Amino acid sequence: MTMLPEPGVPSADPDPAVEASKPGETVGLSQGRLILRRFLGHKLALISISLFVLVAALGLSSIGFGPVPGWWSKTPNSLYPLRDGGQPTLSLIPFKMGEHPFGQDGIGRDYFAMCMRGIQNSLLVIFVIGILTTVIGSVIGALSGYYRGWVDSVLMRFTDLILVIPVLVLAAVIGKGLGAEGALLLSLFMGLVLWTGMARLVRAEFFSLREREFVDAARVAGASSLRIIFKHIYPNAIGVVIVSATLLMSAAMLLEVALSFLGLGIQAPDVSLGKLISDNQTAFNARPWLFWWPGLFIILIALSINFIGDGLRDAFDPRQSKFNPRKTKDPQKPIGDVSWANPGIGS
Amino acid sequence: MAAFIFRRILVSFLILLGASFLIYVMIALATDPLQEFRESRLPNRDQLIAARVQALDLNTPIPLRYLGWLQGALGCALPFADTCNLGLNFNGQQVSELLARAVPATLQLVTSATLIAWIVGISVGIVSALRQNTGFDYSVTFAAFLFFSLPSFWVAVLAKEFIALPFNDFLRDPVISPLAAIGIGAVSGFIWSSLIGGDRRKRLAVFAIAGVGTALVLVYLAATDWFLNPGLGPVIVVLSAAGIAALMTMLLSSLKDRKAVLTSGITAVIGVICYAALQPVLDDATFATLLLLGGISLAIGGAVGYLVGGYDRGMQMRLGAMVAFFISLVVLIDRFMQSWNAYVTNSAIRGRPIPTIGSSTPTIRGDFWIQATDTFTHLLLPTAALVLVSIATYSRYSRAGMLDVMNQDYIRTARAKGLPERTVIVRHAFRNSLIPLATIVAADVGALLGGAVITEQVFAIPGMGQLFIAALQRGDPNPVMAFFLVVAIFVIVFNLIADLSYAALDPRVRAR
Repeated sequence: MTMLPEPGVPSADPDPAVEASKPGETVGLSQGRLILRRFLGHKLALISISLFVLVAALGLSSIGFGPVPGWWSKTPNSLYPLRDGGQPTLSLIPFKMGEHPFGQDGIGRDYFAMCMRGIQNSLLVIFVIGILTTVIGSVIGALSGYYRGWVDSVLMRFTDLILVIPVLVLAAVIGKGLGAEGALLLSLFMGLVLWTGMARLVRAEFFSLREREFVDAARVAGASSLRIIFKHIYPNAIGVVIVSATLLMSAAMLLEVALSFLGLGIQAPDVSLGKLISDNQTAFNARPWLFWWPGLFIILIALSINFIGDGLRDAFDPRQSKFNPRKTKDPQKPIGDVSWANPGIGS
Repeated sequence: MAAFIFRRILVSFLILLGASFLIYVMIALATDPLQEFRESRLPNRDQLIAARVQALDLNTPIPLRYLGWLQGALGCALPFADTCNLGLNFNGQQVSELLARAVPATLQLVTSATLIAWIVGISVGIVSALRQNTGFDYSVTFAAFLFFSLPSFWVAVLAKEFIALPFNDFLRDPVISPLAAIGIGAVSGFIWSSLIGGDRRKRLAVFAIAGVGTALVLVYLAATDWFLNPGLGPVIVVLSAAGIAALMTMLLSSLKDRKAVLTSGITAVIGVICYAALQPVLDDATFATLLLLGGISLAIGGAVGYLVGGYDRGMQMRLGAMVAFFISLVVLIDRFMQSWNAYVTNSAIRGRPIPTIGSSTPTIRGDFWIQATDTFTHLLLPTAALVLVSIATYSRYSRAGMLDVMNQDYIRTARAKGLPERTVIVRHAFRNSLIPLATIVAADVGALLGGAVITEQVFAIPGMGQLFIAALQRGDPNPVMAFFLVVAIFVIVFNLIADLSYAALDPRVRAR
């Protein structure tokens, strides 16, 4: 991981040795182009991106969000007369939605609208937590890794302090306090405590990058510390950051549905996919579709994000590709691809 | 080294202090201990509120209240002093007592999950690294991604519906239809052929042998009512003892190594004799007896290896101990199977052995074997739901570690000096690939304990996780703090163990 061969934007000190050591790549492309091309070659990641966009578009456009109206006429919390025991009316061949495509729950609410609302909340959680943890984790990790010394000690002891509390305990306590206040506030506060894994990754990355020649060059040229950190070093660490942010997003979503399942996350009248499952698990034999739909969407979203992350990792870190058989001989580096791990979020 | 450990413990203690203050403040801000009275219409409502404010000391500012809690909690650090005071819950019970009652169920769950995740995750990861870029490797990778994306509570509910209930129904009338036998046979043939690998002809042969073999065994087992009266019997025990001896010899040395064959052969013979002789002892065994017998068998295996000796005495001792261990395992499984029928027909079970709630059948009576079987059947589904994520993690890390190691120069050296590939993998690559896993396994303990909260909720296991969730939902601070304390101590201790074992396993780290 510490050997990441120059991921990042082209402006940031490209290393000619690495450029030259890729005989299989066309000469004359910028780093960003190379990464994009490698990513586009990853079929599974492309399929995942389309799937994710499809699910997101469905969730956002169907019942509308905020002031924007959607194309689906029913709302998550209105009651409709129960038809046919709430059976789903969706049929794929010939395709037709029918009155209640995903069926109705025990009291007649439209399950399609409820699931769409749940998807919207999951997307909100994913992006708010993803952005917040990336920003906080990057800043703390960068300062800690660049300045070292007492700054590092203080920041890392603070990180340890949060890291010692299991994620689920932290999130459950926050969910208990803020779950009823809505998904936005909940995910904002969850983002405030979930950045620890990201901070450690960025710090490790900075530890090795700050010793490189281009940093000395920038310093000799008179660049300020902040400029060196954010203009010179950080772009070189962007690969690790993006990959782990992606994986963190799927973990964050799973965390939110788990909390809502436990009754400590998003509260009624709002809808969460996890809450839908917990509300309907006792009716499994009578109305199994109430159980399948939310689970299906959770897996779809989480799986596609994980595969996107995998594609990004391969694009940023093509160490194992056939054209680049360089090996790592860094005893400090514990394992091949640490960046693959979910940074700090277990289920 | 001692100074290092001492400093680490001191720092850990300070971190624990800070974290406990942080979480105490968070709990105090997030929960409202008076919430259940807010909308109450009881005539003595004001009195109840006053009593709770008094009991929880709610009028004191939060930091001072924390100091009070800390004083009680620090009493727990003194062993045998009976000064432990984690406060009372809403019903006036001592939290330390509640915790003591809840810990065993959680510990059972997390321990079994950890063991299974190690064994399955690491072996799957290693094999998929050795079969890199094959169908098996791709399937394992896909499965790992899938496991990462599955919500564990969803899997748990599914497991109840689609594993426990059908299996119990199956046991009522254990008949395997020809179609099912063919299907299971095909699956097993596919798994074996992709595991063993080789060219197309070899794979086809393996597929045919494994598939037909599995199907025939299934049909035979069903025809003889084996599922109701399972058991291995002396023949299978002897055969598997021989098989284990041969396999271990092949793995650690080779069948051409006379001394190794001698060691494993003698150990296997002793194992079979003990199997025949010890049945009466096993019949009224307790947990302590089993531990003792296990220890003795390891010692015997090691002693045999020592006596056989040779140029590589350490290896012989390991070989003997491993053969002894696995034969003991077979004997143990055989003994459990002998009790299975008594368990299933027990009046508390009534033919439905896979339960979906609780951590034990409260009304069950019987000897050690019945009780232990009862615990295992209760652990089966929760463990399965809990380990998925860990298995995925370990398999990815051990795969990456193995690939990393296989590219190292010393592996090329080992091959170049003419060692058989088996020796290269087992003695050179496998051990070194395990080193980095030590860190990950330790870091995973916190995640497992967190995951146990969800699993316990779905399967209604009366463990720490349930204590935590129930208290948090009511706004009861002291049990929540107690749960945090136990989990945080576990996390800290395991991280310390990881650091120490890393230094012990990897001399490069120590040298620094």
